[in-house]
Amino acid sequence: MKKKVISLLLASVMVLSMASCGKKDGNTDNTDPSSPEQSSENTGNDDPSEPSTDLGVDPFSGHPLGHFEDDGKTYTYHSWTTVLPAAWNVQTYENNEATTILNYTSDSLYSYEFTEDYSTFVIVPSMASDYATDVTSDYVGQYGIEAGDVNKAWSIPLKENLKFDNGDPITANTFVESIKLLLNPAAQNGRADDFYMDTFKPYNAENYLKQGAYGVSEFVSASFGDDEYVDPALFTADEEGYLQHEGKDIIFDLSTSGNWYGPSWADLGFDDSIPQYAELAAAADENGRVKLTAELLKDFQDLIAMLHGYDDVDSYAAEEAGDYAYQEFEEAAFFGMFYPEMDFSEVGVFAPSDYELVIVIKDPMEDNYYLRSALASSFFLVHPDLYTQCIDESTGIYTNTYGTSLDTYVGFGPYKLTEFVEGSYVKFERNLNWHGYADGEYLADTYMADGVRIQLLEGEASTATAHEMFLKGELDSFGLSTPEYINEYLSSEYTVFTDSESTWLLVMNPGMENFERTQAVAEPMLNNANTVNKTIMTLPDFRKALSYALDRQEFILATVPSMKPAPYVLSKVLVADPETMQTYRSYDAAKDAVLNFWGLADDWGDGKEYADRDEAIDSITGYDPEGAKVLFDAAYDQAVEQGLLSEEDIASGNWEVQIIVGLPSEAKAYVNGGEFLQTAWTNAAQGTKFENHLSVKLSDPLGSTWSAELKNNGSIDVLFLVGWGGDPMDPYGLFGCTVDPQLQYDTFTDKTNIFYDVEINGQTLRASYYAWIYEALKGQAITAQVIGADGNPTGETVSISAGSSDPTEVRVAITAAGEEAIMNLANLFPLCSDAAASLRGMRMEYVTYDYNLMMSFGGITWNKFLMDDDEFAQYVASQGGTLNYK
Amino acid sequence: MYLFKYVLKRIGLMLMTLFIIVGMCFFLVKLLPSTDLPQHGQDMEIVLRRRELLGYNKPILEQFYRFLKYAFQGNFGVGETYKMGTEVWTVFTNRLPYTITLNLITIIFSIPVGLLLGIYAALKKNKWQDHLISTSVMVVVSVPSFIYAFLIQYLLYFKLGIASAVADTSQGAFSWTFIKSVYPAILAMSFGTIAGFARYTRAELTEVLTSEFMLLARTKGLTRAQATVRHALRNSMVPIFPMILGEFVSIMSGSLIIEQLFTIPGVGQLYIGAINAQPTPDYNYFMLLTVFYTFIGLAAGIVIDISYGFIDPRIRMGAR
Repeated sequence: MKKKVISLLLASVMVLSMASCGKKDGNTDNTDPSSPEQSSENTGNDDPSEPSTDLGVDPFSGHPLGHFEDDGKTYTYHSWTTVLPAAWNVQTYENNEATTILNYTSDSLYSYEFTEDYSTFVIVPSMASDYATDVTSDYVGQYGIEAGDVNKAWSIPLKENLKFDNGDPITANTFVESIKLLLNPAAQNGRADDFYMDTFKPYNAENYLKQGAYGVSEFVSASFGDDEYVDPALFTADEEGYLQHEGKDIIFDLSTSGNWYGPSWADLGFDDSIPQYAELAAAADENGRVKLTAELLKDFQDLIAMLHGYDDVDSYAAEEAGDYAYQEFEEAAFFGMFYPEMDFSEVGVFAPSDYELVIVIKDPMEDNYYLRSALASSFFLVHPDLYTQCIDESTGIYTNTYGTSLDTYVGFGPYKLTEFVEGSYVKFERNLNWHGYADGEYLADTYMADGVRIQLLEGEASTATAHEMFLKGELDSFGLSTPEYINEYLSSEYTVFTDSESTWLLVMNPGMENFERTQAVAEPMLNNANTVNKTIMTLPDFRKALSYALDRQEFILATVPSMKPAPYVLSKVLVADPETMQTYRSYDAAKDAVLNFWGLADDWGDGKEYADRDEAIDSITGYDPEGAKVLFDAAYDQAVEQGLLSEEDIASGNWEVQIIVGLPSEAKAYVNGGEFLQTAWTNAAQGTKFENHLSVKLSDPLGSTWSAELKNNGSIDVLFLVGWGGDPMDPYGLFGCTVDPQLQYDTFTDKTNIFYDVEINGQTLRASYYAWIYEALKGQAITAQVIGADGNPTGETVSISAGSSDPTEVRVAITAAGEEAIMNLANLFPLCSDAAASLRGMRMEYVTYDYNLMMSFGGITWNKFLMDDDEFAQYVASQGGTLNYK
Repeated sequence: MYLFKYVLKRIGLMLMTLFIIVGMCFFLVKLLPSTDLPQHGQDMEIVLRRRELLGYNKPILEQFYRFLKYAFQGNFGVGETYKMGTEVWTVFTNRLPYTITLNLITIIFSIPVGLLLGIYAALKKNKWQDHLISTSVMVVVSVPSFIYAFLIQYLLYFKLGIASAVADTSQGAFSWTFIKSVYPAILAMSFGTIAGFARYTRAELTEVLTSEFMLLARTKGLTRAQATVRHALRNSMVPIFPMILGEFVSIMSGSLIIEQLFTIPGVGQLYIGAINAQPTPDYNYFMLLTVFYTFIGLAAGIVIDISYGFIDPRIRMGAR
């Protein structure tokens, strides 16, 4: 899962980059492109492959097989993008723009395919000829495999007709060579960490990559023990006095404060004026890392004590934390070590024969969705000879120009790159060397497009230009990315809607120290105010009032009308169990979490207001202006009681609570949304104790520092239309973003100190939010307290994990309780689902109009064209050169 | 001989200035703090090791020496954070022809038109023709060229269907296909140049036409046309000709917005793209562009200075 601070702009790009697709049957009537319903009744003969029932069906997907042949007509799918890659090296690319080319020109061992009825998907062999088989027992004594181990060594049979688009054969050894190039220590390829950062970790991949160099690995806390704290007494000191544990150094890193606080110690306010920090900084290497000695460890512990408001660790221990004061550094310290030299033969990837690839993984994985999904990547396959030719080390620096031009790239997918003008456009033509066009493999009715052309359209006017080109018939789809376009085409028969795994949120990052700092320098905006108060925003009731004041339906109309209100953090499309495709939101635990938070837990059932949970959830709007007023008044009282408002301010009445809303750009959705918040909150404060004391200010466009201003600097108070994206089959990983040190928005909240209970197997268990979400759901065993009927700990503890091999019900229970906990924390509030809309071109048909999160509407695989290029050009001309999609 | 010495001296100074500017840019951009932040799912170790391999941790003087050493060999490296993996020289030289073609045609089209309008306005000073041209010029000068670009694209492409929405680069930068497809962009870029030259020419020529030597020329029996062409125009060209030269020098500077709007793969976006690259500016792209445009700018200064001597024989370069 990759970081995504999602903007609406990106969402539109996502929609536009989504390949559209076609219906099963063709339509030869080129003068009257009809509605999907109408045209599906016609069975045309434009399809380059006539379905041929005698070829049988594909055993994995159930789709009929066909015989591919060219019908002499030309169908070119025309698309556009706002970012065209200049390079698309599969081993180094760092953002999704490279996939504009890779998606068409690459293949994978396994791939996602529609089920027979197009209702969902299944992972099927693609370059592989069958699913992987467990051969762990064949390699006992090698690659770290011990007798009795299972699910560690997987044999993948390959098809024998695999070729690059230049005709060169692809064998199992090509995969091995490619992975060797990927893990080349001299290259430090950006995608190499895919082989050890996630659950799928080929044996020794990381060690091979990092060989011969010093590096830091995991947090001390993560590797010291699952259910115990680090004991510094167990550290030994080498001859130079550096602390070590099992041969590894203990490392302090200036650039990261670890699991809880923020990105760097300097960001937390430490500088050389603090002697302990100065000593650590003086001992740092060029990367800001410090090998700790006993003295430096004490400095480190003092820094942590200072974060808790103490002068040093001893006073922190004496007055509050006890022994934990000396152990807390484990969350921000790393192990460091030298990686020994090794040969690639020690890496768990090898080819016993030309058509068998064996991968040995470090941690066992069953043959389930997760393993197949991990294998459903291109596996970083490159043309080894050409790749090697593109390496240049003549200047002493390793560079590689593979995948930067037609001459430096060879693909192996259904399409071949034939034209590429950097900064302009890219064009693909059918790659007849692709195995998928062979008899016995070709699925009838697929890959109707002979070619694909993707035009770059950049800048502020790109959407307007794309719109004009779409109406001129020069593009085959158009994303409705602005409120104006959505309103214009909302009722068009060509408009299709897509869901996303993301929920847009309103987020805050409350932190008393930060608010004290920012309010001290803030200028009042209201005429009657002399002072600015921000510390009131630390009160959950105040923040909840802000949420209750928002009419989400109206908010959507003001921003992106294709969205839908959402009362939960995790989207309804997320799948909790990929084996059964049951969605997370369909579990009772997930429903109860929502009902509990919105106060409807007792309002459903026989004889009650709502018949069932679903009906109760559907009734939630999140909008309660009267409730907001009550909460505002309650917050005021709490502020007075807690001294957040000074007596002078109360007496004078010359104070204001100032909320700064961060805007990333001047895009209408953000400006409109910001203004909506301004109005809604100001109105909600009317008639409360905040009347004439609440100001809402919109920031200047913040650009790429948008989220950092909230997360790291605390210079703005609210972000909206933000969220996280990721694997829709992994709601647990997605939810982990709420506590991931790099991704969470409320970085000033220490979630190791937020606790919640989960009912598991009849027991009520309590652990920290961090432990549940960031450790247990990742498969790490955590220690949870058993809670008695009185709601207090019994003193008993249990060790529990909830990784991908554990029961889904347990994972859902932990996630659902966490969802309720995070909403109660009132640092983030769900606003709406990330739904988008787009127009399909008049000559296009989709195989299904029910959007599938993994398959979209079928993509280029299932595109159906009602007219070829010439026919469509004639049709557009016959319409006066401009098509009417309304 | 004076001129030769003068040119040599200027070239020497230019190289020294170039070295200083390039050095300053190199040091300043390298001194910017690294903003590499670990991303979820990304091993920061790889980021740090790559930085090590790229030589970022070496002393900055050593990095500068290395840069100069390979820059003299024409090797500016590959993109590290912007257009990662691409050879910066290749990308730059692939894009430059599109910018040159676009700008050259714009200049060839707009300078004569601007001069003629300016001359005509000057000759018709304070008449309705002058007022019309001057007012139009003011309007055009006041409105940014990308506004015309939007209007031209909408009108010529969408409403009239007589132009392409975007540049057709399939046949290369020097093809008729490309030139034909970018005429809306040429029009959009021309307006400002035409207006600028018309305004300047009118002002210069108007001043010259009222000079005493023009009266002398007429009293010597020259017709108005003869006096204007032989004396007024030539004298008014003294400040205008360097402007024309300057336009030609700037043909290698891309127009960010026009190139974006018509998807012309020129160099206009490279500089800003290199500087805005995340997580750090792309040093290699930045330095290539710095070297190139600094050199062009300095060389243009010399050419323009020397050109004064050819336009106005009274000006002697390097003479004591």
